[in-house]
Amino acid sequence: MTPDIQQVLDRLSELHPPFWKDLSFWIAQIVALVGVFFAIRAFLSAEKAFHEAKSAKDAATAAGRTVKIQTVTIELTELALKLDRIELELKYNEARDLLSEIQRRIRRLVAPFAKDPQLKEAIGAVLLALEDAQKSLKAVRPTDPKAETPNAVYYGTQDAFDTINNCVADLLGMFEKQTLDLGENDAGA
Amino acid sequence: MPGLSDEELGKYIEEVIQSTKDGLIKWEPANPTTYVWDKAGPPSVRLTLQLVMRTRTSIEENRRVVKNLPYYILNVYEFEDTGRLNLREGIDGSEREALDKSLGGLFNLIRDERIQKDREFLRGTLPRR
Repeated sequence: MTPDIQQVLDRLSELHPPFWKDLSFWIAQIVALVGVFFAIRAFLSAEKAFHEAKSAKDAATAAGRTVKIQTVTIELTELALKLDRIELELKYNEARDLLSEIQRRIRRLVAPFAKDPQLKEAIGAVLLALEDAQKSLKAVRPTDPKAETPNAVYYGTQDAFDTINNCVADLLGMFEKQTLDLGENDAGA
Repeated sequence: MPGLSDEELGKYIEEVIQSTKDGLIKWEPANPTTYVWDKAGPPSVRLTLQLVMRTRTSIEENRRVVKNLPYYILNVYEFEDTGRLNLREGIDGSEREALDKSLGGLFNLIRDERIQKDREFLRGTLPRR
């Protein structure tokens, strides 16, 4: 390299020093790093907040489900007590009204849980028992409504009502178990 | 007649069956599963014979199996002076299995007679050719 060229390069170096020798570069770097640090921190906080919000939502859903199950349990207990009180002198129209009421209320109560894998079988059994009760009731429909045979309605429907009552008791047990153990969704866990 | 033995009640049912066959007892349907016979006194009584289905659920091969098993109830009521019916004897086939078969025989006899009457009635409703 000729001395002239070297001089030109030195001169250029003096006029344009390398960027890492510039203080503003390092200030910019520090600012950028601080920015990245806070961005990562913000991301981690946001992620944590998301998980906490999700957990809170799950807990709220589970709590809502628990409240719903408790409401269902109370209503089913009421129906079970009603079924316990059937008397020998039961008339056809009383049995028909009772079955209609029980059928309507049970169907409404269990409908939200019909696809629940843990309750599906118990719900199926109670719905089947309701269908059987309809058949039993039909079998004792009096030929002359004014002259009902004593006790015939009771004899003909007692077993069907007992079966409904047993199925309701099974269902109550299943619901009560669910309020005690909610697994991963347990609000109290 | 409380406390009657199965043997005595069995004889009673056989007599009811024979009287039904002889046409001395005219049963009338009270509902699709119950037949009634009212006897003018004394004593004024009402006999009711009912077919009852009981449901039995069992678990077979991890599946719930529901079976409907029939049994029969024969009740003997006495008409009180007030017109009220007083249950004097009840034969429950689910509790007295030895008598259930006889009650079933009586029920089938009445039902067959009834079906025959209904058949004749329907024939009578048709115009003569």
